[in-house]
This record gives sequence, structure tokens and C-alpha cells, in this order.
Amino acid sequence: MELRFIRLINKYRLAPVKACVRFDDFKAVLAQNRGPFKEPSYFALAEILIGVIGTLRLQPQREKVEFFFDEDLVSQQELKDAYGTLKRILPPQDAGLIENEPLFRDDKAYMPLQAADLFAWHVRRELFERERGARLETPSWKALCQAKILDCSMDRQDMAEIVEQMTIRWLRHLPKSKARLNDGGYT
Amino acid sequence: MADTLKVQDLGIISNQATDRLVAALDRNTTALLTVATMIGKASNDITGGATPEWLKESVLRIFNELVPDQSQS
Repeated sequence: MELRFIRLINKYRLAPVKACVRFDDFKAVLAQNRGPFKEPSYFALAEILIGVIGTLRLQPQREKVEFFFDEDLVSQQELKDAYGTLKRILPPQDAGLIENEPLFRDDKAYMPLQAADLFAWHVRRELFERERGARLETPSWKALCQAKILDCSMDRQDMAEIVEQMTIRWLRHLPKSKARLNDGGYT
Repeated sequence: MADTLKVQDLGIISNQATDRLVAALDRNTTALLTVATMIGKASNDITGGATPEWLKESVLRIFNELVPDQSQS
């Protein structure tokens, strides 16, 4: 049954997108007690959106993409806000490539979300195996890997480089009165 | 001054510079600037060079919405 489902995914040339963020890495570099970076999900959303748009930008046809989320797994308003902010800082020529609003569906009734769940389970399992020096060798994982996977993952060093660039890129542009948000040590 | 706040050693992430930077930023603006940096990096991969003006303008606009102007308080 599972392999038949995967054959269907591959037949319609669906391209899986993955964004793995190790919680330890995120916690060491970006995590905060409150706000969008309390959990890595907002960061992962940004990785996926930017990765997908970067790929779409290279396609000969400009096709709009829609993002679907499991309605039971996310806070819809928080996700809409995060999605809206992301959309507002995309390049003007790219902002039109994604729908204005994220869409929410029941994963029991909506097959693309089931495909995403299946893929996510295997990606997580493969990571788990890799971290203990093994490999995931199941027929399902091999079949899933036949599709061209867009990997938007970032590790600890990627995140650290972003933080480093952030200091160089933005602080000089921000109004000084606002950049001095607390006694964090810079002006 | 800001340019001195670099991550000195990418192998040691929780160093003072990173902690100071993140601590100094409001929780929402940290997320905003992180994502904007990712977008800038992605677009620079194509265009090369410095941060594009549109990105600076959008970030500043959103930043102004997120952070109260302390000079007026």
C-alpha cells in the first residue's frame, strides 16, 4: 500500500521538499524564550519558502505555488502572520509566486498532506539512523529517494553564518535609537 | 561598532558575541532579521553584491512596526 502511494507520488513528479533543523542546533544559536523563535517551526517555514521560491525563480514558467498545512498541527493565526511577514520581505518579483494566504486542510482527507506526512516520517527516521552511524535502507525510503528532493535544511554552522551576516548586514541600517533595544552591549 | 560583533569561531556557537546580539534584539526582530538575512543571501546568490535596496526598505519598514521608537518615549 505504502509503495503504491509512493509510486503515485513519483508518477506525478511531485517534488518533496525537506527542511531539517536539529533542535540542539537551533537551541544553541537562535532559540528564544518567546516569540517566533521559541520553536524551530517558523525558521523551518522560512527555509522552505525561500528554498521553493529560489527554485521557482529558475523555472522557465512562472507558476504560482500554494502552501498547505495540517489544520490540526499549527496555530493558524500565528502561521498566517509569519507567512504574511515572510511574503512582505520577499523580492518584489518573487512575492507574486506564492499565494497570499496559507491554506489549511484535514490530513485525513487531503492526500498531499498524507504524502508529506509519509515523507516527513522517513526523513526523520533516516536522520535518526544516520546519527547513530547507520542508514535507512527500507524499500519505501529508496522509492521516495527516486524523486528529486529539494533540501532546504540548515545545520548549526549555517545558522551561525546567518547570525554573523545579520550583524554585518542589518545593524548599520537600523535607526540607532531602535537598535539599542536593551543593554545587550551594542549601539 | 556593530561590525565587531561577529561570531569569532563558527565551531563555538554560544559565544558572547552571538549571545549579545540575540539578547540585544527584540524577539520578533531577531526572527525578522534572521529571515531577511536568509532572503538576502538567497537573492545575492543570483545578483551578487550587497543587500538590495528593496530588502533594506522592507526590513526597515517591518522593523519600525515591530519596535517602538525609543527616541520618542
